[in-house]
Amino acid sequence: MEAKTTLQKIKENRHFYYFLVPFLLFFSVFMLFPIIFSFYMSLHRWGGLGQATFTGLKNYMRIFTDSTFHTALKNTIFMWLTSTPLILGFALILAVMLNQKKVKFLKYFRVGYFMPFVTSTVVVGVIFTILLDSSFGLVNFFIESIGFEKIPFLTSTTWSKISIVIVLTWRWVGYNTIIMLAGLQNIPEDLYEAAEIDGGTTLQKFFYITVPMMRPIILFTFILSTIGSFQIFTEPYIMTGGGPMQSSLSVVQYLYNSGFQQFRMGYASALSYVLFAIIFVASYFQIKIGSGEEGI
Amino acid sequence: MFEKENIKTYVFYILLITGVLISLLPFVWMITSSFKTLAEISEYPPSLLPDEVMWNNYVDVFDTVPYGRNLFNSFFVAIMYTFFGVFISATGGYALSKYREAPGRKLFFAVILSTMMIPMQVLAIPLYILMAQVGWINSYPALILPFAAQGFGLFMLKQYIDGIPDDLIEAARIDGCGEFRIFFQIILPVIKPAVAALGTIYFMNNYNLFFWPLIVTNKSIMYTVPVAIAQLQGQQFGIPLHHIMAAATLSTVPLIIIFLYFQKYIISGITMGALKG
Repeated sequence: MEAKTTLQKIKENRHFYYFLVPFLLFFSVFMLFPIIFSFYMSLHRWGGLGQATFTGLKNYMRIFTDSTFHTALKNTIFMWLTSTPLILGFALILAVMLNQKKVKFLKYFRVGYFMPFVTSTVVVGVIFTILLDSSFGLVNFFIESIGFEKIPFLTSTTWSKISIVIVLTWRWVGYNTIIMLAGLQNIPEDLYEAAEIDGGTTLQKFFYITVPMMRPIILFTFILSTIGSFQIFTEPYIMTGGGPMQSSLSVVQYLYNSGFQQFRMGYASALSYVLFAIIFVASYFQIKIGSGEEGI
Repeated sequence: MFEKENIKTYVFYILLITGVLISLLPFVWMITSSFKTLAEISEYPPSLLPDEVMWNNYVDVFDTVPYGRNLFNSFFVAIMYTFFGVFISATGGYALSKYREAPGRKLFFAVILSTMMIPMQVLAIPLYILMAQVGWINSYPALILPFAAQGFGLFMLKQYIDGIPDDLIEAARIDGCGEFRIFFQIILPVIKPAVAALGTIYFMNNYNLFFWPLIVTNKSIMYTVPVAIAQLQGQQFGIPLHHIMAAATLSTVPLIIIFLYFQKYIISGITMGALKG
């Protein structure tokens, strides 16, 4: 058989392009173009109107010395590193509990735990603004009724971040439980049966069978949580406005403020690129570490 | 008196039920607060049930903001986005899955996959400038189109289409079935479960989306529900908490009904990525 020329191949497979064109068109206009344009913007100073001035890498240099950005980055990392273990820890325990063979009302539990994820972040934010209020909030009512002093959740610089973490944990445990539950159901039953014959306790089974078998799923949820953490915006925007005194300002909110309130479009573009780099590096290392240990 | 096994079972269920209560209490609080007066919401100690049921909150919220229009916007945008986004992912996924000989296939696939991790926030600035340039600020296309081509959706449907045997398509070709007919009459019906799963996820995500509509709308009649609620919350003086709670309840109830109805699909959609990836 003769080798076909590329042109012939394209002609034969023309329907490939017909089918792909709609996706590709929107992908190019709304994904590829912005990525490139954003880089171009990040090398300029531009106030949203008039001529943009080329400034080279100045925007990027500035990020290194921008103390507000450093605050926002520290806040975001704090929220990431505190909420992720809480969310994944609760989710794994809950998934193991729900995976017991004889759990009654499993369907209802699953729906109940999943409900926070279904609701919009804005709605979650406004509800928790009321629940965590320092003078009339329900949470403070519970805290006072067990004999402690009220906590200024949303109005103190120490507690504002923690409040965001509480809300993140509340919202994301159920979602991760569902993923982990699916993972647990894939672990072969005989592993547990063999352990039972050898007299393994519940805790031993958890640490020697469940955790190692669940490693890929835990890694997957960890990466999702990491990417999600660096996108935190709505919760602080609604509940604290990033305050008090920038104590709950997230990277994305700083990006939003720079771009859409101060109209420093070039600087905000540079921030976008830095944010992307952070997410990329963080998830790259997690995948590396995760698969490296498994020897793949 | 109790046997050890029994106590264990009790503790087990008490823990599970406490967890569910923590998950659901904020919703209960939202609904009961939506029937309170403004003064009663900020009363201390707080009470669960209102003294008098204020149905008026549900009427007044439509007077303070164009909330009817906001609800329409949210539904309209989410439905259009879902149909459009799922459709182009299905055709694109089919192309990448079943035309393996097509030149450029690998390159296209690699480029699309490599952008899967890029969050919307990174694209917000250039997309906003683009929208402003073409005069799409405060328009439906701006709310619907920009995030319709999701690598995640294309990848999910491609994975599913990979499972369809090529013989099925070959047989149809031999019978003289055109390429487009193969897609619409053979592929689409087979991938229905994946389409439903992706569709419900797209709908929920878009209905709840805040960041993008906040950027691309600034007229209250073009707000989607999350932006409308955030604007109420953002008022400097006298935040109308009772109206906010009524608005929040109105926006959440339909979503909960949809979730209960499509539960199976949402859960399969979420776990599909985890188990294969």
